[in-house]
Amino acid sequence: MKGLIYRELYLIRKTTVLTLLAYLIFVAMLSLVFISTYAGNLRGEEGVIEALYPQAYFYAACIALIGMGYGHNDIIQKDYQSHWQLYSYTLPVSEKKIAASKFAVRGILLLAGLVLAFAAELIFSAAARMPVSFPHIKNILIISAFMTIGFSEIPLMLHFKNQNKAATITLIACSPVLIAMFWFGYKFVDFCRDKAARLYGEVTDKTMAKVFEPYFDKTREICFIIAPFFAAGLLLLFFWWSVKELKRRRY
Amino acid sequence: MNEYENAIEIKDLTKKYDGFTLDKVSFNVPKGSIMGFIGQNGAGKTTTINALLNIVKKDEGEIRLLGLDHEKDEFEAKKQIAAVFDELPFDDRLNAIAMDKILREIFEEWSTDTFFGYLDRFALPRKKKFGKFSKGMKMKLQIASALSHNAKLLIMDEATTGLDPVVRNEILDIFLEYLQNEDHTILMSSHITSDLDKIADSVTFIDKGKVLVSGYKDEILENHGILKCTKDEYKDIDPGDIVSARLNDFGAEIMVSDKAACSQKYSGAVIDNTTLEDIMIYYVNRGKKEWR
Repeated sequence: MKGLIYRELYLIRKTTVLTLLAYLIFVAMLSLVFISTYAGNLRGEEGVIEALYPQAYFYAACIALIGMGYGHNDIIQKDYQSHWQLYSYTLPVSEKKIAASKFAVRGILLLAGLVLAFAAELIFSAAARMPVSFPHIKNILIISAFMTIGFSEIPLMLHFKNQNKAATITLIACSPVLIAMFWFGYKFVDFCRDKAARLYGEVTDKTMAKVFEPYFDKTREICFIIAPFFAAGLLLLFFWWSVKELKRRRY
Repeated sequence: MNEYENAIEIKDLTKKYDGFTLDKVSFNVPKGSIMGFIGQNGAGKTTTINALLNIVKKDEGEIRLLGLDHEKDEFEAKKQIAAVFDELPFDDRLNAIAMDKILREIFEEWSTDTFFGYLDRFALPRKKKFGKFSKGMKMKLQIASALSHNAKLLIMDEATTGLDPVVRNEILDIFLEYLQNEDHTILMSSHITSDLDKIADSVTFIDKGKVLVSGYKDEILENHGILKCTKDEYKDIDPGDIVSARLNDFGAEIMVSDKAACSQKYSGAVIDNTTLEDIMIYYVNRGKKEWR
């Protein structure tokens, strides 16, 4: 299995380096903006850190977590094109080990993305002279747990062999959920707007934030509890599905 | 240690697809020999090889590889088997150094020295990406990796197709060298029957999913012959003796499957020796009996 893991890591090194580069540029640029609020040309400007710092970790986490997994997405398609998928059946390796190697690589990448996301939070807090935010750390953990949905790419690609086809089918299958989420979001904003008007007499960013925050905090706490179970359940499901797809051996 | 007489034993192998059936295919490949597996495109060669390697699930039949059941003892058997396909199954972005690191973790008996020895012998670069290799280089690389984990059975599916005669000859020499060890066996499917004329000990000919001829090459070539006669003489030939006949303006060239008997039966008739290519062509046309 070590050989299979090494192979996949070798093949994704280019996209991993590009992701790291994008991440470093993003973190460096935002850190410089934070530093310049007390040691540069933004000195005296108010609200810069307040506006950017609460979001910065989120974008850095997205770049790290999505970017690290991105390079792995097309490996299975290329394996079919290069006939490696066929060749792998001639090796003394079981389907479980083949699937496990793919999950291990994906796990390593997710872990690397998580480390980068934590590092970004530390760098931003140091650059902005702010304490490390525990809610931010919690959010990063929750995002990482939900990124296990990305592991579905493995069985989907084994089934469809083609990335475009897999993405299209997934989008079609998930569209009711996405529509429901947008609808819920729209209704929730409406609800908060009404509540802000009722409680504070005006709808501004500040009053909306006051209404939003308790709900966000509660949701975060709930997600923080269910995220590990959600992630573990998805991993088991996708692993079982991947082994099943590999056993179909459609040649 | 597992003792066996035949490196491959296939009995009544059946696999049904929509529009094609591999129909009770049976043949053995004796240990220490090289068997040529011939047939036209779509005859069932690749399906048979994929069933051997358990890449496709068989519907019926028994397959034993190196004395082991190909399903129950799949991974034990595959440790000792190397498969070579017509196209390099390694990603274009890899190079030989990376491939060595990958395969040495997969095969217990992988030998880095043997692998790099073959690379040097074939003058293949170690750091160049496979995407920049020519077809001949890719095939040599595949053979180098197949021969570097002490495989006892080499299964090749159209491995020499598309290669120039010089490279093919070089590869055939390697196979003969590999067969110097009497524990080593090769099953080689190919369209290029001249390669098999050179190196095969035995031959299995498959057509439309059925084995038509299987046995030692010399016996097959000895038994078959092309009887040349005029159109009038052709009428007197017993249809039971004819595999098929190629007719031309001057007469007929008839493939007979029992040369010795026919020489006696049709004394005076000229019966030429045949080649595997002739056998393949005449057997493929056996349904028509007469063709031009």
